[in-house]
Amino acid sequence: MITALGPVAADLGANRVVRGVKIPHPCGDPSLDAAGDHALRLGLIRGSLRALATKVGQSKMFDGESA
Amino acid sequence: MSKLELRTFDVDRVTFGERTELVGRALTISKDEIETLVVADPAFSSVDVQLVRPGEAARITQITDVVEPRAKSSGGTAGVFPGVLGPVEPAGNGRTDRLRGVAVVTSGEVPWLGQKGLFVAHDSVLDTAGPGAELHPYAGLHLVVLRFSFAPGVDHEGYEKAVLLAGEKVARALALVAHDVEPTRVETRELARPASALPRIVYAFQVQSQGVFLRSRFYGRVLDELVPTVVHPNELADGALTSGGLGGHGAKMHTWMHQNNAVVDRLYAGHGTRWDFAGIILHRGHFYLYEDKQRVALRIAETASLLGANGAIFTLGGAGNNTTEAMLAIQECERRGIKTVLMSWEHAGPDGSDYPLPFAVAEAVAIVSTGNLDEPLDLPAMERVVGDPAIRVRPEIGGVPFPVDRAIRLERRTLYAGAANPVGFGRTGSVET
Repeated sequence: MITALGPVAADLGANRVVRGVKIPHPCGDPSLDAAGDHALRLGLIRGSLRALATKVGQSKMFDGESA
Repeated sequence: MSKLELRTFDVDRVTFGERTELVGRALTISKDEIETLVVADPAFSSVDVQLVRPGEAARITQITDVVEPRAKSSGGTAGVFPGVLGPVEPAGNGRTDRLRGVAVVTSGEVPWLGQKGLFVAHDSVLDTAGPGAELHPYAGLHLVVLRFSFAPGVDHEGYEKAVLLAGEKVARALALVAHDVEPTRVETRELARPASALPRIVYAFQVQSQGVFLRSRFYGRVLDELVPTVVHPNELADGALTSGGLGGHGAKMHTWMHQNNAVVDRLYAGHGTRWDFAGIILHRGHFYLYEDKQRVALRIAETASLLGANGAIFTLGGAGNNTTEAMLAIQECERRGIKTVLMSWEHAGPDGSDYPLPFAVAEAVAIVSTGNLDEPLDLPAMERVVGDPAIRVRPEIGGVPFPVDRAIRLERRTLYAGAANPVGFGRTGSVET
């Protein structure tokens, strides 16, 4: 799960949690220009794929990667 | 320490007349004086003043605020609503006059300027008779309704400020005429430490402040970035905290509710005999990062500890992710041995069976419901509509007209002013089955 409320997601039982940007825009940042936002989103997808490829037991927090 | 002499003047008759004056319990209001006070603001093209009697079968539309008439009758140059109507000066000391039984209601269709979504002025209704009258504290009052028409060429910030200022100007003007009248009763409010040890209770008071039309002001300053701060309850009595909120009407606090906060009144009533009221920790929810929410929670718990609290009462400001700040603060307080109770609306679905809160912690073991925001509300037709016969709903898609000059069904209570207000005004709640 990509979310700005990681610990909340963990409490609710999500096992792979990727740190999102902010509550109103977890998967992007409107303060960045188009290229910067694209890079951020690509990094979040890569971080999410890495999370999926990681064996986890309890809830684990992941960060996006640099694109 | 603050010491406030609160002089109450009961009002049981309100009429229009040549000049604004209070004779015994009869208030006469000059329409001209009120119009002159407010219409100079470039945000308004005109104002219409109407009176609604207690219990009259009326539906008021597009309420922007409700304010109790209050004015300072001593205390140097300090005035009510500091930072809004006058300079920022200490509030909560000296002598304050209030008219009980009458309230100023500001209303009007605030222009959306082609925008939509959360940060436009959401419309609302409020009934003074029938089932809707049970849900808010205003049906038993004489309401002085100011109905504004808005001028073009002003932005949202300008409209928000104008309606806030107008309600407070008129509220102050009405209370100023009480100066030479004998008050119905006088009470002194101060937080003197009790002679014997009593449980020390803080009020962790969350306010909504998210941006234009969804925010509160403290001494005139918006609270969008508020770090939790300690407030004396007398400051609220003098209007240091004001409401600019024009959305989420079911869960919002009007300025009247800040002036007369029921939790504060109750904590004062038992102060020194049943408990020791330690003061208010004012804070906001709706931060967009978990770290910011955690910072609020830690500040509340640390402040409560420093104040020597044994217990804390929490109420919410707004609805949604603001529950996270409150719940994390409850968790942190309980871990430190400070007992907590939360007063909250519910998002429990139409029949009340859904999980009621967006977020909760195991430590939150005492919660009082102030009503279910998701429960449909059926309201009969009212004999009189004060305002437009239709309001704008669904601001997220740019607005849809919704006629209110007939029997109506509100699928959710966010359109109804005060429907599940966080401090427990009105006869509403829930039963566990």
